[in-house]
Amino acid sequence: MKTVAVVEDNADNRLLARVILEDFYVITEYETGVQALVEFEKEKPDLILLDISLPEMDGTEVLKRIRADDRLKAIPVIALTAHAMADDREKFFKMGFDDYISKPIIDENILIQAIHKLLA
Amino acid sequence: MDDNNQSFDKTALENLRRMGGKKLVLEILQIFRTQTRQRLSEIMTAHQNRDFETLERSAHSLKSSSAYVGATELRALCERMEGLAEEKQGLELLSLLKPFEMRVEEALQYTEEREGDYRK
Repeated sequence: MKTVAVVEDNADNRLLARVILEDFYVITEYETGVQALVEFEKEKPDLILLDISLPEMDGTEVLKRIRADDRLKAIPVIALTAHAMADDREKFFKMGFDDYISKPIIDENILIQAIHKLLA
Repeated sequence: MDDNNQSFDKTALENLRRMGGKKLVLEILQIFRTQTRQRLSEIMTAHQNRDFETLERSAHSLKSSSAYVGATELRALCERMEGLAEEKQGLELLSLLKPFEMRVEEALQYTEEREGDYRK
């Protein structure tokens, strides 16, 4: 089973992502980007769900570090954001995200399909 | 609390139940109740210290959590506070603190009552 890392400081979002995805993937959870980057050096996930508004180091900075790391740079990363607007799609792709999901997660199928597509 | 109260959208909790059953609803309600008290305290302290960055992040976080439990007016207020914090509008934020506290108390009461309903 492939591994999806959820990097998100809000416990409710982490819980919901786990409930939605645990039938399909092994889920690992991190509350901060710093914690996630340290753990990724030991164990590389197959895909990362990355919150943008993280304490200490925000999601865009975490993404930069992932893309600058030869070992991690090919991992698909999906932005999790409550900021998303209709015209944000291009902005997230330009930053280097592979997709984005708006929070709150109302329709689980959008999340499942986005991940399935990237891990197919 | 009045079941027809416009501050709350009961379909939000039913959507959670569809995704993960009563167990998920109860866990999200418990997380909300714990996190919301923390966020209230963070926001009040951040305002006193004119720490707009923390205030913005806490309001952003509570906005997302409020949506999961259907606390629509609290969510709208958090969104407004998040925007004002981004613009560093301390005086305008001050005028929202009292209504914010009231909405938080209302949401805590609502979620306590719903927790009782979902335990039946």
